[in-house]
Amino acid sequence: MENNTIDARGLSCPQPLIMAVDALKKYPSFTILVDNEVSKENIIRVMKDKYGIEVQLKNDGEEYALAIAK
Amino acid sequence: MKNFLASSKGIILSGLVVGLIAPLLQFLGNPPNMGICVACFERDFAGALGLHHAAVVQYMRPEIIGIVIGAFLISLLKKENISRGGSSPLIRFALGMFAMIGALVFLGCPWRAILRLAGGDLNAVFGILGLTTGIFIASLFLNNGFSLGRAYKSEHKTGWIFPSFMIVLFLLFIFKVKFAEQGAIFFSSKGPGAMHVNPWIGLVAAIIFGMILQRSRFCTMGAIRDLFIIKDSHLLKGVVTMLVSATIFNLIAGQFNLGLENQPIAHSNILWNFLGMVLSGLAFALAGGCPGRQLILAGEGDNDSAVFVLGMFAGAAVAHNFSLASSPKGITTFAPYAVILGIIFCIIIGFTMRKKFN
Repeated sequence: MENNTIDARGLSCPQPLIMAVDALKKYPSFTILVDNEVSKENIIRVMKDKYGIEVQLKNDGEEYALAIAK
Repeated sequence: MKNFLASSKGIILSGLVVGLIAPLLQFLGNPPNMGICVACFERDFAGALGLHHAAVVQYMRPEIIGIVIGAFLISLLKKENISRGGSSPLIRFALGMFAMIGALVFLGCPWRAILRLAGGDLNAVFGILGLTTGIFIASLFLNNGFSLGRAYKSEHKTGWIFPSFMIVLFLLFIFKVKFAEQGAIFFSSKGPGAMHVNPWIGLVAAIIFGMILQRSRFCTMGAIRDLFIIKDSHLLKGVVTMLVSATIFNLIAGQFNLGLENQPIAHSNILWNFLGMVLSGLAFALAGGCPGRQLILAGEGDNDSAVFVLGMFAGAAVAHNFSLASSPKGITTFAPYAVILGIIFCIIIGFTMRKKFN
């Protein structure tokens, strides 16, 4: 796992999404933790549509770790 | 595709369903340009419970109950029903209250703003401009780290409490239980509160709404917010589809009447139509969802959204008991003070509730 891990658990959109977009400006790659389906969907969709990035969904279940790399 | 309704086609389909069912409900008996208005219907709901005594707007709208139940059922089925809460509940209550006060100055929630426009009511343009302005201000706060703090998952089924309340209230409503001769449950005998579809039709239509919108995450506030924050038009596709389909339905069904004057359950005070919705837009965006979306989230187990909904009930009570709610005659004497107070409250919350993210 990369060093850059952002914890967005417990937050609902748009906050995790804003955090992901901000992190994209700072780090070449990072992992963001979310714990709701909507934030997971949003981040995956926006990363793909806006930045052409395929998000790697690391673990499924109650929480998600989304690995994002430019 | 894991969740078709969350896709681009899915959100358009959701907009289509809302845009057709809402005016159909008007056609079948709900008040004009109010097929499903969450603010108006929660106001009627609060009246039915006796939280306010505006006799013309007391009816326990089964649509409100249905949206919560629909979202509850589908989220259980899809394993998305997660009991959670604890993110600044009292602030959310206050935001719900002020959101309702603003909505009742304009006379409608964002859904009704769209339905009013779809019915040809051009006053809605000023409401939608206000809504957009409020959401824009909130977007600036959000981009600067605004947060009401994180929620925590509950180990217990605390998220079932709110849907359970709704089921109990539906039973009281459908059996027309009267607790005392002059007591609740109240039913309007005239006015908008007396205009309604068959309760079962309202309930079933709203359950369908709740199910589809839970899957698609349809949100009118989010549609505008996402444009400002990340220039993302995903949710907006749903809202535009809703407007277009409702307009076409109204044109065909003879429910379209273009103009500013003599619109149903509306007034033509441009400034306060605008500012009322600035307040609502701000409050919805700071709380993370339009009133319809808050009902869906409450059904999914989000207690913070349930608290926001209760805040809206309280706001309806305040709006009518303190004579802040508009009528077709126009706004009231004290409405401007309440709206300004609400905007100040939201701005203070926006500036103070900030979190530094790493």
